[in-house]
Amino acid sequence: METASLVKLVYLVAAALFIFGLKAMAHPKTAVRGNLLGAAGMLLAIVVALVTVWSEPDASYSYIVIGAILGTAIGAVLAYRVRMTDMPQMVALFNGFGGLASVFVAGGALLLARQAAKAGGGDMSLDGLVATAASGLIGAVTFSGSVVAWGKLQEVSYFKKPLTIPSQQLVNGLVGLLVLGLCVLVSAGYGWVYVPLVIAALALGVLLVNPIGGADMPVVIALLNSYSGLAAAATGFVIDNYVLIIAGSLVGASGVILTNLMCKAMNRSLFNVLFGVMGGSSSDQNVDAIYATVRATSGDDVAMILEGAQRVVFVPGYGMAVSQAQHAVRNLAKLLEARGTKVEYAIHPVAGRMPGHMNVLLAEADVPYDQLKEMDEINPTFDSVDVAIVIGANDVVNPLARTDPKSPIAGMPIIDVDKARNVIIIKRSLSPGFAGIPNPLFAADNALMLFGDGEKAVLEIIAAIKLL
Amino acid sequence: MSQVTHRRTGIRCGTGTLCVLSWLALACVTVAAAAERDAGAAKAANASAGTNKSGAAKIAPNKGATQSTANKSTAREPGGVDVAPKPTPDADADSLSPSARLRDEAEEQAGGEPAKEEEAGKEARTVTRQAMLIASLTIFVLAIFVGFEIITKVPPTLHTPLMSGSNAISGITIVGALIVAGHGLGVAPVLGLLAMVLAMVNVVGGFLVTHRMLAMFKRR
Repeated sequence: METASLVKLVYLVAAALFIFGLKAMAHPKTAVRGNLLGAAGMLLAIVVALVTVWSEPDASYSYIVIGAILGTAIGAVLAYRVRMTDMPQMVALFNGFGGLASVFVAGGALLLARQAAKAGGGDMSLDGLVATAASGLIGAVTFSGSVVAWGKLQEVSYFKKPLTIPSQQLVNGLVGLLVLGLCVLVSAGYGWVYVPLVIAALALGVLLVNPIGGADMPVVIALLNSYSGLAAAATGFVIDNYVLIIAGSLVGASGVILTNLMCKAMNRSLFNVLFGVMGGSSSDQNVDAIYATVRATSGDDVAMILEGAQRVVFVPGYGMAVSQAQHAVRNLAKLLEARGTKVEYAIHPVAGRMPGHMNVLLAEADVPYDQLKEMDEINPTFDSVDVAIVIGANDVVNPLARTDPKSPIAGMPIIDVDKARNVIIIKRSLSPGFAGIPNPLFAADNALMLFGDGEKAVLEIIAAIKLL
Repeated sequence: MSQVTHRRTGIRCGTGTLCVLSWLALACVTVAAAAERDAGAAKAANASAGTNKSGAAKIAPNKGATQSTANKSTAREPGGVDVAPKPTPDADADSLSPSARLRDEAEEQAGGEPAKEEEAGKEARTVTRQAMLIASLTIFVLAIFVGFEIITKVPPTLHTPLMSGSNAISGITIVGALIVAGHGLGVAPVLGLLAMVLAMVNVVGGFLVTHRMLAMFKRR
């Protein structure tokens, strides 16, 4: 069989491995294997690509080897040094790198085509040019957007305050049009326009992600994830490589689904998340009135409430991640379980800064995954919950989502902690969450506030229980 | 995923479908434009125009599987980067083309059979090129559907590893990086080097991080 056909078949096998790998992600038991399958597929694709390079007379391996070693070293170091809490920004960063890689590949392909054209061969076809422009555009937007997302999540001071740009939307629109125009120029054959196109697209990425707040990052990261897949697919069209097209589409689909899930979980349209302004419309007078009946409590009191509780549900939020309290929470849970309490965790889809963020943190703390309950699964059962412990979550347990149609979180599905018999809210202060609105849950009759850092508060409770 | 189901036909239209449709529309426009351009070029028999697809000096090899005998290039397998894309030997093989083309032009000036053969060859290449493009698009669309089917089965618990895992898979760009970096001369391989580093970080980091996370999910 000709090398060409063999190579294509092996690419197909690699693509199949990707598909099986992702399919295995459907259950924690098979997921590890699924990841290995995906890695095997990638290895196969790399080997085959090397074969392709080898079969060329002017092949040079020095760049490949240098690139591979450098990349592996950096990737491995980053992967093992990152804390689970910082996983969202790491995923964002890796994502951005992939996007930038697409930009360089498409640019390189264009250059090579131009070189060959000068040597007398034909130039890149129209669809190749369109795909190159698309690849450059999407890759660049993904890169700069991901870097901004990383900065916001990492809380790098430069990124903390969104740069205020006058008539933000107008500027966005203008840059968007510029980018599209440049795409058309590239497709028309003006290859050098690729460089300004990439620069403009980088700017667009920054402009788009810059105004979006930290708590909306789950949506942004999922969306950028899908873009990097689309960039890979576009590059696949440029160099006529099926495995790139297939893998890119898989990733693109994955990102779109997650983005959709996030938006539904916040009851906001994607458009609203990307371009809307958070209507932090809380008239200040109401805040004091709402919080008039807030009652504070202490570790000892909580321990007494927990004694004899049959069912306890933890509701984690980003605050738990910030204070790294997941291990303390797990210890408290084990303590309670030893006393016969049933412990579960209610995970809201957008709790944390990334879909599944809370699950990963709790898994890191050795919480068995069958105790991690989805919101839809556990919400109906809150009537029979004795104690709900809210740690570091705010908007996802705010009853205003149900009651106030004008609030920025109106219609957002929340965790029905207010239906539990007792609610303990562990929080540093009464400051509002991302939505910038007060939370009447704090002042409810069955609610008690335990003020303090997440981890410290939980440790207090543990100590108090041990004394009982 | 937000969807609307049409009662009778059961056609579901949601965000995913809309995305696919818009990409399809974009692709159809591209194909049509490409076809028209090719047809125009073929009619003009203008070998020196940069849009000569038969030259296919892009990294992908000649899309046109069969070239007109007048060009005397080896018939190449369509599709895939697999067929050794060789810019330099391409120049050799295609230096046949310029001379072949010069011959063609001369023949064209003379008019007659060879010119028509050339045109027929070009049109054959155009048709094959379109067929290739459509094949790629078909695969693209099918892959998206497969993606949707698989991903919707992943439970929310595993969404973070899913994101980092699919992110690692999007590092498949490394294949393109390898190919660009593997060419000898000029700025292009340097771009390839940069792409290699970035894509490698994406791949290695992505799979390792996913593995780390998944290893933590234990049953009681």
